[in-house]
Amino acid sequence: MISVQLDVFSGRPNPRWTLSPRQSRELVERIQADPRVLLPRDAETVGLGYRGFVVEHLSEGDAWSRAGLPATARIGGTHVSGGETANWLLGTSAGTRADVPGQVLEHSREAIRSARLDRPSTYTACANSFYTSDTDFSYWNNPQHQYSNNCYNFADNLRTDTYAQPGRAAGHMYTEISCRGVAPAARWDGWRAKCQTQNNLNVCLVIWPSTDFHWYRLCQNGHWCHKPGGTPARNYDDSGHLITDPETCDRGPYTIFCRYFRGWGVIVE
Amino acid sequence: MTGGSRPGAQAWIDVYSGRPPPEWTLTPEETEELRSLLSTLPSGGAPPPGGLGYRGILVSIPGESIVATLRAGGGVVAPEPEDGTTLADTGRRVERYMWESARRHLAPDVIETLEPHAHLEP
Repeated sequence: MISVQLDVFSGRPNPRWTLSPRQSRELVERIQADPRVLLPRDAETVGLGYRGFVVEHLSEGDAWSRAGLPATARIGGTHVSGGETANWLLGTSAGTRADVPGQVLEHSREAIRSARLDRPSTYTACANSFYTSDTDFSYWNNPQHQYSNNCYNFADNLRTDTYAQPGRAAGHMYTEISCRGVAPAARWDGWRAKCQTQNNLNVCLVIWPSTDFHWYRLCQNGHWCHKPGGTPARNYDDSGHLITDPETCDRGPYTIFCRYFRGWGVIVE
Repeated sequence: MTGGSRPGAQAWIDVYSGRPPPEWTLTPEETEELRSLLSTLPSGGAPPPGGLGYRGILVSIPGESIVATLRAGGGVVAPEPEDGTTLADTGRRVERYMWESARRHLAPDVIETLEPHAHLEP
């Protein structure tokens, strides 16, 4: 069982609630995808108002125990956004006995959002990279091919008309929808963490927990582009904004950011 | 030609980005019921913006000589690909009917996972 405390008040007791088993598993998955999210309980965080969350592990034999995570830790803070995990964690207070006041929720959301925007994109593209247009998607968005090519086809810039699946071409298709399930399958296809010598496509993997995967690719002018399933390829996120950072853009339910990959000549199927 | 002798429509829940969409074949009776519902819809309505997550239900309906593919979602039924024309699906009746059909044909865990994202609450 995971107890969550929103560290926000100065005089009153902070709101507290417990996560459901499913939420607990998702939190573990988020931390495993990006361990930087988890800070020491006493990490420096100052000021009045939102100061992040304190999480406490109160049981044994669950996903948190198996992951070897500390008994207590902090997520997010005054100047450390905590990323979307902080935003997601705030959302888990809904419907619980914590009854976080509306203005406190709004304040906390704004604090999390501001910290995210303040942080510059952390991604460095490979020196030798290949970029397709960030505005012309005619190669993808025509009736003959649009519906039979998905996000993974687009990421690899390879139109197979097979609705490509990570690992399938290599005979090692993913068996679990999670970062640890899909990322190794992508490695089997040929994606790597390091820049390749010849040339590179710069892509990244995100996950809708236990449900689906999605990929983005860096296109011209520093814009990331993507193709949601059989829908048209595009350069904007779910809020209609140009994508300059896939880590902070609106990804709808694909809330877990796994990692970046580089590759060239990757065969997908 | 009677309703029972025409092949059933193909439908799929347009929700995933990576995985293939859940799909099923409507019975001839369901297909005729769908045709009947569609015939009652007036023109109008703006399609909701598509993106990541649930985008509606796509259905390909066999006709006399062509197959018409439609998207039902967010109170609108529109051709796929879009051609600028739309039908107003007041109360999301067509979309709700498609979810009723989906419940009869797809695995319960698929419905349990995906239907909440359609936000069909009354």
